Amino acid sequence: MVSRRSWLRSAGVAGATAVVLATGVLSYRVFDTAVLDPEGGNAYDPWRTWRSVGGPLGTVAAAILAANPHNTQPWFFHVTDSAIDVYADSARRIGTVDVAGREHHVGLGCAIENLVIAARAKGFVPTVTLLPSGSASDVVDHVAHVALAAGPAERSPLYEAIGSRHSNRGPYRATPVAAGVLSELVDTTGLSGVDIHWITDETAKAALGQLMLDAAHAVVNDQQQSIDGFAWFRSNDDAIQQHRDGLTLDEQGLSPLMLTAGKLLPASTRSAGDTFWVDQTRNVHIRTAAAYGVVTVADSADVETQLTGGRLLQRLHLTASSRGVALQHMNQITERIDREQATGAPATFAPRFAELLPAGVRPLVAFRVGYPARAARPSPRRALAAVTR
Amino acid sequence: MNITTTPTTTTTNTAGTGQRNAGAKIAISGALVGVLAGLVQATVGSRIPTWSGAKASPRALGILTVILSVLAGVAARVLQRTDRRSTSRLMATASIGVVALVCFTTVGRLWYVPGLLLLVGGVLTVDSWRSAGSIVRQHWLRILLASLGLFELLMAASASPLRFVIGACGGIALVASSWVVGDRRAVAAVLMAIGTIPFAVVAWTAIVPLLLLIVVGGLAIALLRTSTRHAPA
Repeated sequence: MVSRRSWLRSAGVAGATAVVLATGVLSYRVFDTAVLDPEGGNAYDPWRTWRSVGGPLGTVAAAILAANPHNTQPWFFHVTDSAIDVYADSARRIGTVDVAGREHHVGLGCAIENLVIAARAKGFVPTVTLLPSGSASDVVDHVAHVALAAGPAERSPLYEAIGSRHSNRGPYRATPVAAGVLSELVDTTGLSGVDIHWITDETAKAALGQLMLDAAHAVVNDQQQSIDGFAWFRSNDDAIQQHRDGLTLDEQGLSPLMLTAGKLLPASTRSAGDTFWVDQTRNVHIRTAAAYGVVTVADSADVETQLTGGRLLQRLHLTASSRGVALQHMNQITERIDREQATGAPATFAPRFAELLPAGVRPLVAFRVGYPARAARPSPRRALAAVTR
Repeated sequence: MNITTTPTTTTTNTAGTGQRNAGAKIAISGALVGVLAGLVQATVGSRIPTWSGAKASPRALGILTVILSVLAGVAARVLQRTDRRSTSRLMATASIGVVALVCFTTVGRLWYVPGLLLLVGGVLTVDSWRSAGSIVRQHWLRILLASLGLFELLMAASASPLRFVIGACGGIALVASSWVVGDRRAVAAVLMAIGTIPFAVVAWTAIVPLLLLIVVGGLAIALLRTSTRHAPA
């Protein structure tokens, strides 16, 4: 017969074994998701090395750090001593999430703006020609030709902000962003046909916030949009280092302990990811937004306008970063507008969004701003060699 | 849960000794190839991602692989000596086996050959599986402690440089403490503290290093109390 003492001893050893095994599983998750070095590895090198790359290639090193949809980095560049040609990589689109390609082209516009700012800092005078091969659908992938002439090196605050600009998806402080600061963020010099409309009034903010939440629900309830969006989520460090693109848990603006907990748990499923995004939209993004901004245009389907809107957006984001103002891109409304248009569904989001904007303009992309509660983290980036031809 | 380390004499026959020596030689070969694999990972790992597993920190993982391969080699050398106790031999064999398995996560395909050599060599060095099972049961808590050291090494492998150094040293200290806890309790206690507290301080946000500290603390109480109870007067 087993004595009580012996039974207790066996139970203790079994318990200790179970706890050690659990520690082993969690240790593997720490290893697998790089909890102890989230910005390590080659995937984050472009953020550390972009300043040190000289000549025309140095402008591309800055361009690849630009904002872009779902961190798809839908670009490649042809580099010569006197010019940079920017091409769209149509294989890196996000399917039904951006069915009309507006975010795709806005992201390319962001890269062009970074390239131009870096060119001036590196002693070039850049001259941008958008869609140099024309706007026909078969040549639209050649989105810009940037001629580089010799000139004085001019390092602007925007150039200095290139390496610290990140989309901040975390909570913002309750401090409002003054109207004067908002207006100083907008500089449309040399960019025609695009503008920024700020939404700061509490009633209008609440209406736009509700519209964003409704759009987020609609995106996750649209199975194909949900699938296409989730395809760009990288759930472990191996995937991040291998692909060097896409969205990661580190960029979601979570507190350190919440981020660790998220990484230690099993990799998120698509439905869990959808639920997380909707919850974050409701409880963090909308609730803590100090103001919303909308890039407005006359024709949101025009590719040249989309590229120009991207340049304005990037310029604004860099200015915001240089002044300590956080920004998060929030495009679920326009994603639903384009999706409804593409599928022939009744337009439910376009009219509601139009009510919040001045007459005669259309929304291109939207974002929120505020003073951040915590710093944003960088996203993985592909190497220069992978995006230059 | 008796963890006294009364020397157990070995009565293996010549055939068994021959098999063990052959196993040790194979394991040493595996360790040498493992060192090479670690050096390749540390130097050119990022340029051959298909072979090296496309790791985030190839240099750190390469260095870790070299350290672990050296440990496996030392363990294999221990097995070549005939004056070792059964317990020591089994610990050495276990070390070889654990290194063989852990390094499949550190250098990708580069570990296929050394990993296989270490596993085969490790298996051949076991004289008697029945006796091995008995020793494992007898020293189960020490094995758990050594396992925690290896888990710490695993966490350190993908950590930033400072955390890597502290975690690697801590992991090795924990493994070492599991070897000495039966004979030198004070040294073991110090090694356990060195193995857990600094890593918990620099990596507390990862939560698991704190858990590791608590679990090692629990094991330490059990192991040191038992050692005290069985210490000679």
